[in-house]
Amino acid sequence: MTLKKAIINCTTGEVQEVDLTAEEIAKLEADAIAYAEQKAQEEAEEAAKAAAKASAEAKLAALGLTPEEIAALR
Amino acid sequence: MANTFELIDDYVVGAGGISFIEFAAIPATYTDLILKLSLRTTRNDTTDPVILTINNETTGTNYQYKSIWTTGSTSVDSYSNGGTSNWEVQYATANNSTANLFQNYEMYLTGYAQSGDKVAIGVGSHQQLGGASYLVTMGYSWNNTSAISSLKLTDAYSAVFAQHSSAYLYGIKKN
Repeated sequence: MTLKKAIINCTTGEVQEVDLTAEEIAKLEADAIAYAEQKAQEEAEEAAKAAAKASAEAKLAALGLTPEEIAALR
Repeated sequence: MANTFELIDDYVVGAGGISFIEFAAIPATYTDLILKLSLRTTRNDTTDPVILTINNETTGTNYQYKSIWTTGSTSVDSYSNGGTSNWEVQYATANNSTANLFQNYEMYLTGYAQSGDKVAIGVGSHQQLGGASYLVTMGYSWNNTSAISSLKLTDAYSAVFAQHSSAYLYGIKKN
């Protein structure tokens, strides 16, 4: 499938549908990889935060705090 | 109070799909802009983030955005990106979602032709029959004093906007 782009000239009303260049396709693919890596990193950071929170709450519970007392600390 | 609300231009995706939709040479004759999107992509997922770039600025950290969303079955969640190279539209409907459904999104860009930083708000929904749905509200800023003359939409994962997807750009003129 040939990848295309649409450029709508809002001044003239002209619409161009043209094939992507090799450079544009390469950038599109590189941007997609970078986006996926960024999202994976963000998800890993969120997971680490959630794990640290769960660990802290478990330690507080082991010290004798009730679930209500732990919730009050949040 | 707006005294004009008129269509500047629009684009409806034809057979075969399209990778980029770019509104170029946007006239600076309005006060604000409204971008209305109804997008579906070919990515094999139920939803798909869409990237919006302004004036073809694709590097640096001038773009910021925050989002608050709910899927209806989970509590309200939020996301913030404090310095990146594009705005994100959350989300287009994707290929594994219910057939013939399209995301619904509206963005209001304030003072797009003025000097100073630009701000916008976005509201969207993706309603999937019998499956995951969401409602999202987004706030945006672009730290650039240039007038906005171009808005380009691209799929974040290099998928293609599917046939019948559409984008409409309106101009608002105030007294």
